[in-house]
Amino acid sequence: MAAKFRRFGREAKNVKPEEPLDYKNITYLANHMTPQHRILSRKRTGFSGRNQRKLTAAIKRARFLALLPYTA
Amino acid sequence: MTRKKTYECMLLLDNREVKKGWDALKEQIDGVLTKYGAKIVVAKRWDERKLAFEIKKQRRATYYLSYLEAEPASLDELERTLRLTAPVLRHLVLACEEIPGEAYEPEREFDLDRDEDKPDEGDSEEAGSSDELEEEFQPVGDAISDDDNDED
Repeated sequence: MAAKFRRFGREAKNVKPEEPLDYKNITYLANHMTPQHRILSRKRTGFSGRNQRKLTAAIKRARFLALLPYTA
Repeated sequence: MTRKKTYECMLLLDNREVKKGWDALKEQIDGVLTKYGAKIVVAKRWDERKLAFEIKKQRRATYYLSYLEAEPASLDELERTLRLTAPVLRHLVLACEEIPGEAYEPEREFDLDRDEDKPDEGDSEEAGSSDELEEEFQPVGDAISDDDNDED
């Protein structure tokens, strides 16, 4: 990708097939949250826009099912 | 008749009902799932774990994961019935493109052991289970706290 299209000066972090952005993949999702269980910003996850939206949706689904807490 | 689609359905089941007998409960749940013409492709107990927060005063629950082939129009009815089914604490139905291979793996035996070893867990909650929560979430916090500092 041309540099001028990059955010934050680096290429977006890829999602590995063995670690899908799925609400059942709790430990992986939890790694993208602050200690207070807020969702990390795109700047800190390094995900592309599409994957960041998937991450957000997955975390919110996991929260709904009480797999992850809403707050600390 | 519309074409059937594949759906992933996760249910949170009340552990008090699970203890009364898994087979009967599974029959009841599967009956609800298939009531409106859905076909169960795979269904299994996904986990038995401590909840991140209480749901209907329950601190633990059994997760039941099923993959269904159902008509899209029947989902409203299905979800309404799930909401009225007492042992179901919470449900989440999602469209899914393909069923992951691990869905076909046999159930682990975690909950059977747990039910036998700790028969009165779930009725009264003790310190034991809150330790488990810390184990689960503490390492995550440590891993992230390093890069946490530069932003705040």
